[in-house]
Amino acid sequence: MPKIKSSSSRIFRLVAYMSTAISVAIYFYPFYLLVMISLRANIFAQPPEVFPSNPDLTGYVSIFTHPAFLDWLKNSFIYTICISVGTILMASFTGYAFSRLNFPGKTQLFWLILGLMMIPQICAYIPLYIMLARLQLLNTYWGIIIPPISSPYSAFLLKQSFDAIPRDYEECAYVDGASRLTILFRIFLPIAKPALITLTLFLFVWNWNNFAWPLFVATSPRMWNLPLGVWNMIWSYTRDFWTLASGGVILMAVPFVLYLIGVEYFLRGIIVTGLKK
Amino acid sequence: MSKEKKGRRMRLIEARDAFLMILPFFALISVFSIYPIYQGINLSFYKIMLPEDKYIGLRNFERLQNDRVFVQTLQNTIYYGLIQMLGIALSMLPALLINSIVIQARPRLRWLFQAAVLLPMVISWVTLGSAWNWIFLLGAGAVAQTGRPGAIAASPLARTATAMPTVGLLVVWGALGYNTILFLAGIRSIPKVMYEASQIDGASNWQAFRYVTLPAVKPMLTFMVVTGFIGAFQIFDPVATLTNGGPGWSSSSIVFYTVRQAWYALDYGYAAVLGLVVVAIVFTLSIIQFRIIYKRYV
Repeated sequence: MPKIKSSSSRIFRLVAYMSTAISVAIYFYPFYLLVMISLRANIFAQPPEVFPSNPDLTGYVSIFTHPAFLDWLKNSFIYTICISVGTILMASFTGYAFSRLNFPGKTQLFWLILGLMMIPQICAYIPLYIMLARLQLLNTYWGIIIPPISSPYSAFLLKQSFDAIPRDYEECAYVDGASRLTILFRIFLPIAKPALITLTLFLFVWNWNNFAWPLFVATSPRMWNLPLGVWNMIWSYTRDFWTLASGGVILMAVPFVLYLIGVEYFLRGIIVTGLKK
Repeated sequence: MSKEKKGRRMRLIEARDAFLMILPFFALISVFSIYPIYQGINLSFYKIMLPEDKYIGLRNFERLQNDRVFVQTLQNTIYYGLIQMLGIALSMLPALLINSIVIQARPRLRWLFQAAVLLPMVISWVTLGSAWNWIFLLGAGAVAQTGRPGAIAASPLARTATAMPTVGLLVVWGALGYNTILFLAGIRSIPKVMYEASQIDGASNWQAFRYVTLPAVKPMLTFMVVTGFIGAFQIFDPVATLTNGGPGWSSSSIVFYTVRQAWYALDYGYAAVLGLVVVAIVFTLSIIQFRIIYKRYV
């Protein structure tokens, strides 16, 4: 890169500030607007209010008194935590076995995992829905949590990061008589911590935001998660802006906090492994 | 015990441990991924109804030919794929901007820049969708209040002609950060020596970009193009949250149509056929993508 001369450095600094300010504005404005509407800013006043003149929390009060809202919130936490933890556990075991152990059929099974990664999940939802309906598992925690925890993608990712761990580490432990489970939990998972944190954060965000899967298997409003509940409120043409905006704000609060804590990990996830929404 | 025998025993134990470790995963995969795929193929030959499903042979597949909505949503999906390409091209701009100016002039701003553009990636489309719907409503309201004759007080998401381009651009908006970060990482990994060498040879900035930067990020570019199309063939959330497919089918993607067939028309057999079309396309694209990655590593 060409070195910047000191005479033009002021312009460069200005451009740096300007471009950052513009992109921050473009990317924060929708969220800002949403929060302001939820606090009852009168956006239809002329000129529109930038900040509510008399902010109040009636939007939030009315969404928390919605008969099913607390169920949605509770379900969102249950689905997100159970599915993410289950996925991580399964993926750790599978990833470790494929990274370090030899067994007949290993290559073929690995190709199977790769093949399954290439099939869009949403297309399997239709037969899966019929299957769960016949097993009477629709609208049950089991039916909603168990199917998505076997994620080929996560298993593949953890296998890749386990592959990068030098074999010397586990050989010492092995000589000392450690079992495979001990090696996995005491050596592999701690060393692969950055990859593990990245995957966990992504899984949390994905599962929190997922609404195609609950759309299929949670047909009763009491079993919906937050995205599905808020979405249904929006498309039921309620024009109670404050309530809907409050729902949107609560929905984004959890990922937003995770994001602020772990921006570095999200960046890492994209750059190293190409993780996506 | 002989050494050979001991080795065999060890291998047996290793294989046993391995199978115990992968058993839960593959048990679940078989029941909840492999069996549904088989079942999906099966379903496509039936009309699902009570009290008993009716075998109708290839009729569901024949329906594809005359289904205008299928053709329309397939076209829409390709449109979404193409507009993603625009987004990828567009994302080089902020990447170059960060690389050549922001990092040199004010390195700390890079963090803010990245944090801002990546935000839509972690937020539910339900939230994004409602926020944007309000922004457009606000805009439409402002236009109406100017009282100009002919000012249409409707959001671009609510008009047939503009719904799809708007959804497409918003998807680009959402993915821009992701693409920028990938590009930036690609550009940063180019050795500085190459730029120095090009400078000595008297290359202009444009020539340095054209002959050094672009070839270096080309594999990543190809990867992103294919990934963009794979993403387009799975677009569901933005459509469902921004327009709910409307007006009419004007902004529906193929996956959205599939879900609608299953969910509102309760036509599971035909939905399964549509699902298979999507699976076939995505699978083919994924193999291409896989070959690109594989080539990069070899």
